[in-house]
Amino acid sequence: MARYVARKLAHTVAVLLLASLAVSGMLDLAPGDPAYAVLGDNATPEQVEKVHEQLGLDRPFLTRYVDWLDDVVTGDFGTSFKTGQDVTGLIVDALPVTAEIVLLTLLIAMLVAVPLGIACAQNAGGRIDRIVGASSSVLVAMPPFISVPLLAFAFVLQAQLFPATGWVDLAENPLENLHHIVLPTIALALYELPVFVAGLRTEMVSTLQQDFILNAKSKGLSRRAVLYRHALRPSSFSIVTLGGISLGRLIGGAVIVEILFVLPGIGSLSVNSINNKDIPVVQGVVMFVAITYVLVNTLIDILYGVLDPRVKAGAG
Amino acid sequence: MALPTDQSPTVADAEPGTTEELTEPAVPRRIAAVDPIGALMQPPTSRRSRGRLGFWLAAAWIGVVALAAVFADVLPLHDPNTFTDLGPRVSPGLGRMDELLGTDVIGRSVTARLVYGARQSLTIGVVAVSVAVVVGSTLGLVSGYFRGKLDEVINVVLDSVLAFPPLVLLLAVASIGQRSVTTLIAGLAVLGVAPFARLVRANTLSLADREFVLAARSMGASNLRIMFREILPNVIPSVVSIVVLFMATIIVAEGSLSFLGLGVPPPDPSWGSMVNEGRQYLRDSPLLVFIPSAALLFTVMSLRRLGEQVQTRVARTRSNT
Amino acid sequence: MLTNPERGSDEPLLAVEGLRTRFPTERGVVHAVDDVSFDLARGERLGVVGESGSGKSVLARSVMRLLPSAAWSAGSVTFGGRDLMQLSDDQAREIWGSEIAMVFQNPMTSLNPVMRIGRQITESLELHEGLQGAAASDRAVALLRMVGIPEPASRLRSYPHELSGGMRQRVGIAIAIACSPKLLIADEPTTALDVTIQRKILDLLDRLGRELDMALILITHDLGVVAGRTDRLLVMYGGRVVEQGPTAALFRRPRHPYTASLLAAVPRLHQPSHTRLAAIPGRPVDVVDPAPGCRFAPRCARAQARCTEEDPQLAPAPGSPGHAFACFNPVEDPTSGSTVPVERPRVRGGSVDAEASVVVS
Repeated sequence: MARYVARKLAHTVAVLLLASLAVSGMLDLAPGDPAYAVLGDNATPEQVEKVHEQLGLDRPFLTRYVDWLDDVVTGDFGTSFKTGQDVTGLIVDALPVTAEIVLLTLLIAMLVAVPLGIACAQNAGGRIDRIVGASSSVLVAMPPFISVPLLAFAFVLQAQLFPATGWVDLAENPLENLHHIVLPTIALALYELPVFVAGLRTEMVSTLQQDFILNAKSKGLSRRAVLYRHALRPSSFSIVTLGGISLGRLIGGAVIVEILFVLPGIGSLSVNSINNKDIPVVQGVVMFVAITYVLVNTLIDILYGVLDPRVKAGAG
Repeated sequence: MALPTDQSPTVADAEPGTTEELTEPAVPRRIAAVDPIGALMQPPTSRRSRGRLGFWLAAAWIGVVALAAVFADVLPLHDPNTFTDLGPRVSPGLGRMDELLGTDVIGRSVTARLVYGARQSLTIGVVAVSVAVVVGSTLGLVSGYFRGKLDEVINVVLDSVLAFPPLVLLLAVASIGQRSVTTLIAGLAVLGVAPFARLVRANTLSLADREFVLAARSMGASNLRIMFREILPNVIPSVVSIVVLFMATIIVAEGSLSFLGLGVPPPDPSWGSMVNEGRQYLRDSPLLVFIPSAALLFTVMSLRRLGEQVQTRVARTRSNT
Repeated sequence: MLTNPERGSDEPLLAVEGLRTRFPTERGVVHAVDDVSFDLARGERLGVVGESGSGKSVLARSVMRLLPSAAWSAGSVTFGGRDLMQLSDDQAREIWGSEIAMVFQNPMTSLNPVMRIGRQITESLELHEGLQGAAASDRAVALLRMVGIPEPASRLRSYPHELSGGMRQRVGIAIAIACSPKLLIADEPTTALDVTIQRKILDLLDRLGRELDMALILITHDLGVVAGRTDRLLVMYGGRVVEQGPTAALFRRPRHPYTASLLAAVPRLHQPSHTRLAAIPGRPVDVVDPAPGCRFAPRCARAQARCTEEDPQLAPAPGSPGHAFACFNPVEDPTSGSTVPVERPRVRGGSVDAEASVVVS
C-alpha cells in the first residue's frame, strides 16, 4: 500500500516537473521580448539590455528554470515583469473571482441536474425524458462563447436585467456581486448541465431496476422517499466524477466568460499576461492551475470512498 | 379492470423466479478520475435510440457544409477577406449569393466568410484530429505493448499534458508560435494526442495478453509486425467510435481560440472570429453574431449526432462478433 | 376458487379471483399469470411451486400490486375487505409494509447497499408505526434479535456487505415483519443461500408465522421447501394453476402429471446409486400469445389430442377435500390402476410424513 502511494506521488511530482518545464520552455520560445512589453516599443538596445539584466533574462534557460523551481518550492512564484507585483499576490487576488464562478456553476448545474435526471429516469422514454434529451443535444453544442452573446442579447440589451461587464467584490456588496455573476454562471452551467443530467439518468435507470428499490417500494415508502433516499445515493457516483471532469472544462470556460464580462479572475490574468509576455505570471498561474487540477482529481478519488462504503472496505 | 400504475421505469421485467448466481454486486465502475476523453469532449448525452430523422438531418447538414467548403472557389462568392460594394452591416436580402446573409462590420460578404470559414474549420479539424489519432495511437500502442520504463515515461508525458485544463493548454501553445493555422493545428493536435493515446494504450494492454498475439509471436513475428498487424486492427473500432465526437470538440476548441483572437489569423475568416467581430454590434446588427453562432451550433450538433450513431454502430458490431 | 373447508366459516384474509397479468415484450405479450384464484385464511401457510417461468414470482407481485407500469393486470385481490386492484398508489402504500410485506430472493441485491441496516428497518417503523429515535432503534434491535442475529445492537450500524448471505436474509425478514404484517410473501427466500442456511431460514419463517399469527405465501421451485411447512399448495405451470390443495394430499396423491413429475424428479436417498434422475423432458414454456390447450401438453407423457385443443379447467379431485386439478388425463387413482410400491421419500429441507406413491403410466 505504501509503495503504491509512493509510486503515485513520484509520478505526480514527475508530471508537475515536466509540465512546468514545458510551460517555461514554451514561454521562452515565445516570440516577443518581455523587455519591450515593459519599456514600450521605442526602447533603445542599451535599455533593453539593462532590463534583461534586471530581470535575469540574460542567463541561460535552464539556470532560470532551476532558479524558478527553487523559488516555487519555497512558495515564491516570482514577481511580474510588468508591474513588479508579487505573482503569488496576483494569483491570490484573482482566485476568489474564478473560484466563485466555478463553484457556483457546479452548484447550479448539479442542483438542476438532480431533479431533472430523476424525472427522466423514472419515466425513461417518456415525454419529459425526450424533451430533456432534445434540449441536451442543443445545449451541449453551445459552448460559452456562443451562449454568452445570445444571453447578453436577451438579458442585457433587450431586457436590460443584468450588467454587461464588471465585477463587484463579494465582501463589498453581495447583492451586486450576484447581479454581475448571474449571466456568466448561467452560460457556463448550461454547457455542463447536459452531461450531468445524462450521467445521472443512466445510473438511475439501472439502479431503479435493482431489487432493493422494489423492496423499498414494498415497504410502503412514498415515491419521493424511494427516489431520493434509496435510489439517489448509489447513483451519484457518476455525478461526482463528472463534477471533477467538469471542473477542468470550467476553468477553461471561466477564461472565456471572464474576458467577455471583464471579470478580474485567473482566466483574465492568464490571457493578459500571455499577451504581455509577462513570463513569471504565466508560469505561476499555469502551474497553479495545474496543481489545483491534479489535487481536485485526487479529492474526487477520496470522495468516492466516502460515498460508497463498499469501496472503503476494499471491495473496489 | 384497473391498470396498476407505479413509478418504475417502463421495463418489462417478466422474469419470474429465475435463480440468480451467487455473485457479489458489482462495485460501481471507478471511472478514472482524470478521464482524458471526458475532460475534452462531452460524452454522448444519450444512448437511447434516436429518431432516424435526426440522423439524416445531421448527415444532410454536414454534407452541405462539406460540399460548400470543398467547392468554395467555384461558388459565385466574393473574396471573403475584402469588402464588397454593398457597404457595411447590410441586412440579409435576396439577390446575389453574397447578399443572402448580409455584410459584416467592414462590408465583407457574410455568406462568403461563412463558407470560407467552414473550409477553415473543417480543414483544421480534420488535420488536427488525424494527427492526434496517428500520433496518439502510436504512442498508445508502443506504451501498452512494451510497458515497463517506456510506458512510465510516456505516461508521465501524457499526464503532464492532461494536467492542464484544455483551454489553458491551448492558450499556452497558441502563445508560442506565430499566429498561424499551423500553430493552431499543432495546438489542437497536442490536445488530442492524450485521449487517443490513453484509449489505445488501455486497449493494447488488454489485447497484448490474448492468445492470438502469443500465436503470432510463436510464429516468429517481430514486435513491429505484431503491433501493427495484430493489435492495431483490433484497436481501431474503439478509436473510430470516438473520432467523430472528438471532431465536434475540436471544432468548438478552434472556435473558442479564434473567438479569443488566438486562432485563425485575420483577415481569414473563422466562425469563432466572426462571432467575436460581431459582438460589438450586438445591439444593432445581432445577425452578425447569430449567423455564425447558428452555423457552429448546427455543425456541432450534427457531428455529435453522427458521432453517437457511429458509436452505437461500433458497439453493435462488437457485440455481434 | 376453492377455500380450505376447515376454515370455511372465517372470512379469508386474502381472496384472489381471476388474477391475470400480462407484459408487453419484444417477442409479444407474455401471459405471465393466467386466471389464478385462491383464498388464504389468517395464519395459513400457502406454498406456490413451479419452475422458472411458471409465473409464481409475478403472481406474488401481482397480489401485492407491485408491478412495473408496463404490466397489465386484471382480476380482484381482496385483502381485509378491500380490492387491492382498485386502490390508488397512495392507498396501496398504506398497506405495503404494514399489512402485506415481501421477502425477496437475493439478499445481496434486495438490501440497499449504501444504507445502514438499522436505518432500513427503522424506516418502516417510522412510516407505519410512527416510532422515532430511540424507540425505533430499540424496536429494530428487538426485531434483529427475533430473527436470530447475534449482537443485534451493534449490527444496527452495519452495512449489508458486512454480513453473510444468511444474515442478510434474516435482516430482509426483519424488515418485512417490522410492522407485524398479516401476510408475508416470501419469494424464493432460500434459493440464493447455502443448503445449511436454508433450513434455518425456513424454520425462522415457520416460527415467526406462528408467533405473529402471520399468513405466509412461500414461493419456490423446490418441493423440499414446502413439504411440511405449508398447509396448502398451488402448483403453477405456464402462468396457470395446474393443481392445488392440502400439501399432504398433493404429496400423497398428485393428480396432475406435472405435479407427479416434480415429485418423481426429487432424488431419493434409498434409491441405488447412479439411478437416473427422472427429469421432465423439454423446457419451461415461454407464454407469449398462447395457443389453446394445456400448456404442459408438449412435455407431458400423458398428453392426448384433446389436451392441445381445449384448456383444461380446475376441477375437484374426487375423494380428496379441498384438492383440485386441471387435467384431462390425470394420473390414475392408485387404488384402481397399476401402481409402483409405496416409497417413503426423504425430501430435502424438511420431513415428509406422507407417503407418496407416484404413478406415471
